Amino acid sequence: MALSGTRVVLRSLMARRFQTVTTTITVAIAVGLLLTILSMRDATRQTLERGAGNMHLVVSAEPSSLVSVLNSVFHAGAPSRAMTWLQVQQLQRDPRVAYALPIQQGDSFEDYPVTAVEPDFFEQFSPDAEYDPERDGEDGRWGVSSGRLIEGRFEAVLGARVAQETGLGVGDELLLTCGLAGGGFVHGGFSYKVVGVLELRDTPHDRVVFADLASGWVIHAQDKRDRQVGGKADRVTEDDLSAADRLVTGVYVRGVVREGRQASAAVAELASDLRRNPSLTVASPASEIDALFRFVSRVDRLLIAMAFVVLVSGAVSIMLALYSAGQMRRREIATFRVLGASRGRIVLWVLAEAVILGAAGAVVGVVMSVLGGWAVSVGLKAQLGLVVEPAVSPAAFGVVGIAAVVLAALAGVAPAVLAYRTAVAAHLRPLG
Amino acid sequence: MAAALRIEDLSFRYDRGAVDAPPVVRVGHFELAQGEMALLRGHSGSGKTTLLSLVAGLLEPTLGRVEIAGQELHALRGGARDRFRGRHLGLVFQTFNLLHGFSAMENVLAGLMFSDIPRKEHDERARALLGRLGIERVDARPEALSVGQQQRVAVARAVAARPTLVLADEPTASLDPENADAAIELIKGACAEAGAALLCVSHDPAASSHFERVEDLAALAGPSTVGVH
Repeated sequence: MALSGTRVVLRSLMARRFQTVTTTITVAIAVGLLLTILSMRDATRQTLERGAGNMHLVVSAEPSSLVSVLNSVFHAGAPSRAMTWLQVQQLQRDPRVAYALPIQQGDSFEDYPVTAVEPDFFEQFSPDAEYDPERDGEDGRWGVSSGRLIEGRFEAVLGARVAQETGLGVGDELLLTCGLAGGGFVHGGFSYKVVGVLELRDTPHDRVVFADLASGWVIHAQDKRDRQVGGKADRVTEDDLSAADRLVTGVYVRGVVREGRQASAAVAELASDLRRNPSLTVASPASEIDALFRFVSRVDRLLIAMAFVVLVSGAVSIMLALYSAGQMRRREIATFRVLGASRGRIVLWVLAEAVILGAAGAVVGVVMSVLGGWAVSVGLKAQLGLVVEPAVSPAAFGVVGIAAVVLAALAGVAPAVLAYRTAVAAHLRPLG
Repeated sequence: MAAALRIEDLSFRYDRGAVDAPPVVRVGHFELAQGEMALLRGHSGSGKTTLLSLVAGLLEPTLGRVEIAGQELHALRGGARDRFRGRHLGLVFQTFNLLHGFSAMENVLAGLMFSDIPRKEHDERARALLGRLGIERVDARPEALSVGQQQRVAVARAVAARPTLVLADEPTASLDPENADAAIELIKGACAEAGAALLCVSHDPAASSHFERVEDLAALAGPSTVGVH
């Protein structure tokens, strides 16, 4: 096979394997860091926005709005305070409220959070922010991929990821554990039957077990009675429940949005009225997500700036690598010139080396960003309970990849000029 | 038929402004016919290497002209001169200047890279040349070859493109007398086979016995030596 320019360039890179590998890694780290930050930022925001779905407000007794949203909507932790059933009923009676769906959290199944809901929860709440239960009815409603939704006591439906990861399905039985971390007290004696598996919606709710709310009250009332008698109390039924047993940890609220009125204005008025009750925390998931991202974006910008600095340092290392190689390769360059290579061709070879280093770094960086995204995703789940599927944005990959290659090409200019200026005769001792 | 090499009133100073200083190289007239082989003698520092650089188009003469196969070399600029060099000139260096990191085969292919020879013939021609010159390990890197083998690879590279003229700069300087004789015969044989003229410069008196035509660089200089041959 004839010797081609590509082969010359690759031979040159291979001749300096160590330098080639370290330079590629430098570029790859920068590209990987940038892409990980960008993709995780977008993915986290999308995940959080999808998680809020079509609700407008979360009402709870949590100490702060952000904690309320993180716990009630994103299952980040166990709520610390409860609301009474009377407060729920007051909300449900408010004419400005389209739905007020009570939820009770704090239990888990094999480390998956359990959210206790009433059977009509799935008719009203949807991960689709655009879904309006009154307008859309069954169109776009959150359905099941198998089985059916909750209809009776001690029934549960599994989020799609729970079913995938545990292998559980319709007909299986679950025992719930008190608390979100493993090793808690098991609510023995009351098992839930899985009646359905929800459709995958790429939200934190996919990793949740939804159980019947009234059954949850019965279980917790039984535990309370057992503790009071210091042993096994009589079996509690729904009829035995007192007002103190009917507690919820939060309420998903959607305001009535009439035609010609802005949703934000109507909901703001409702939220303002609800905030007059000091025992309630009223949070707008959308606002909290915005506030969270405004806060995070400061760190985000710093990380992106750092990643750009690393990218530029990667380009500088390409320049240094090629420049020092150029110094050492002057005899080789002079030899190629003697053999008939023009200055322009030598310049192209040096620039091609720079571009290959940049492109290789970009490719390895993409792989690193996928691994980095996965690592951050695991970390977010472990630390915050947030389920974030790293979103790979082709545009981000394109822009960062092209930036890496362009910077690499620019970094190749100085070494290329050095190669261009190589005095052939002087570098071909004894011809010099 | 145009001469392989024709030099007319050539002079070269490193500092073009120093018109009073004697030129490093001065040749009144010199001509080498197609396929002809000549030895150019001169003591160390007499400008032999500089003359070869001028003939190779690597340095610009202060005055005069160099023609290769009828083409005035220094009238060609930039890439055109580089291309012309790749097609018409082969060079053998004292230290071979083989491309390290490239195999023996690739070194010879590099000599064909800028030639007129069709690319599909490169591989076969390089392999045949190396075979004729006794290099069996064509995939070996230069550093894995003996000095003698390296020189053979360098010679193969110089004649690979079937050049009009091969320039050999002190090809025996780093060899013992026995190997020096063999090296010159090797270069002459390869040039003869390729149909190339050979201009060999050397300060080694023993090299003279291998050439029918031997010139003294000092004798080529000045008006009295114009048309010495």
